[in-house]
Amino acid sequence: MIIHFVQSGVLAMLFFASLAALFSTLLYRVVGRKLTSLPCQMRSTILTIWLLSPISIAVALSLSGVLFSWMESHEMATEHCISHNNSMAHLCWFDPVVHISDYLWIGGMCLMALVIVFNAYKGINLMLKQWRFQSTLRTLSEQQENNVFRIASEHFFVFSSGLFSPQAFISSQLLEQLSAEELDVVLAHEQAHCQRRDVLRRLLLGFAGLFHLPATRQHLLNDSELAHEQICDLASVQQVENRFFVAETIIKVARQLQLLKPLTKMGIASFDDSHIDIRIQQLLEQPKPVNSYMLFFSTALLSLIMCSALMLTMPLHHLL
Amino acid sequence: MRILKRPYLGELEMAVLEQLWSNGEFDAKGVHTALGKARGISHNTIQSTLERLFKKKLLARKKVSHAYVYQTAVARDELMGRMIDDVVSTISKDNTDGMLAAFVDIAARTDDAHLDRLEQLINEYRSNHDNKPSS
Repeated sequence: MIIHFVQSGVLAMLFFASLAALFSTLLYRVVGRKLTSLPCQMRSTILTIWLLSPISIAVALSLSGVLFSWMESHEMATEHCISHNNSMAHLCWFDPVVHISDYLWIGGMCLMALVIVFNAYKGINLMLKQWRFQSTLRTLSEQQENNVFRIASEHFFVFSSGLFSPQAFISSQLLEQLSAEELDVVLAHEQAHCQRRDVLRRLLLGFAGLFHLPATRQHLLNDSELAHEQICDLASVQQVENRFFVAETIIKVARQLQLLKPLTKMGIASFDDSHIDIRIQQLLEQPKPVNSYMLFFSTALLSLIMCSALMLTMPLHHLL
Repeated sequence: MRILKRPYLGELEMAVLEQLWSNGEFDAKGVHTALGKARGISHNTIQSTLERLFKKKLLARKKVSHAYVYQTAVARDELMGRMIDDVVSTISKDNTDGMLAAFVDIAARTDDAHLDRLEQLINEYRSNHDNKPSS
C-alpha cells in the first residue's frame, strides 16, 4: 500500500508541478514586467509566493487527489476505491496507477532522487563555500561598529554576508571616500540586509524555486533580488529622510566601483544586468498608493482559485 | 615553496600564525605555552594545528633533536594581500552563488555616461521637487 501511495503521490506531484511550472512561465511572460510598478514589499511577497507555487500547488493538488483514499482508509467514505477495478485509473494508495509501467515510475523516481541528491550536494557545497568565505572575512576584518566590519583594502567594496548571523563588510578605501551622511546611507542599507537575512532568504528561495523552468526561476530570483535591494534602499531613506540623497549615494558608490582593481576578472559592463536604473527610479518617484480595489479583487480571485481546487478533488482523483 | 591557492584559516590557525610572525621560531611545546594554556587547548590540538598550517604551506619546519621547530613560510602582508585578492575576486564574479548582498552590484558595472544620465535625472527631480509650492 505504501509503495502505491509513493508511486501515485510522486507521479501526481511531478505532473502537477510541471503543469504549474508551465503555467508560471506563461504568466511571467504576461505580467512579469508589470510587477516592477508594484511597491517593493508587496512585490517581494508576491515573488516569494510565486517561487513557492509549483511545489505548494503540487503538494496541495496531490493531497486533494488522494483524499478519497484517505477517507476510505479512515472509514469516512463509502467503498470508493474498491468500486474501481484495475482498468480504471485513479490516484489511489490502494491500487497502482494501472496505465503506467513499473519501469517508467521507477525511472521517474530515480530521476527525481538524482535531482534531489544533486541539489542537496550543491546546497552543502554552497554552505561550505559560505563558511570558508566568512572565515576569510573574519580573519581580514576588524569590527567598526555593531555588525559592521572594516577590511583594510585599496579596493572599493561594501556588502553583507553570512547565512545565520550576517555582517556588513566595508573596505577602508570606500570608508575614506564617503562622507558621514553617505556612510549612514550605505550602512543603513547593509544593516537592513543583515536584519532581513537576505543572503539566507535568497538561498532558500533558490531551492524553493527548483520546480520552475530554469529560465523562469532565474527571472523570478532576479526580480526578487531587486525587490530586496529596494526594500533596503527604503531603510536608507528612513535613516536620512532624503530620497534624492540616497539615489545620489548609489550613483557615487557605483562610480567608485568602476575603479575596482582586478579588471580582468570583472564582468563586462552592461546596463541590462544592473538594477541601478530601477532603484533610482523608485527613489525619485513618490510612492504610489496601492489600488485597494485591485488588492481586494486579487485576493478574492486567489481565494476563489483555492476553493475551486477543492472542488477538483474528484476529477483529480481520476486524472492520472 | 608555493602556497596553497586558498588557505582558509580558522581562528586558532590565525592565532598560531600571529604568534610565529611576532616571535619567530617555536616548537609545538613553545606555541602551547604561549597560546594553548591561556585558551585551555591541549598540546595535541596545537600540534595538529601546526601540522595543518605546514600542509597548507604557510609554515616551514626543521627537526631539532626530537621535535620540529616551526617558522612562517610567508610574510603577514603577503598572506593578507592574497586573502583580500581572494575576497575581491569572489565578490567581483558575475555569479557569487548568492553569498552576499552588495549595496551596488559589483559585477554589473555601468559606464560613466549612463551614471551621468542618472545623475542628471536626479537633479531634474530634485529641482522639480524644490520648485513645487508646498500645499
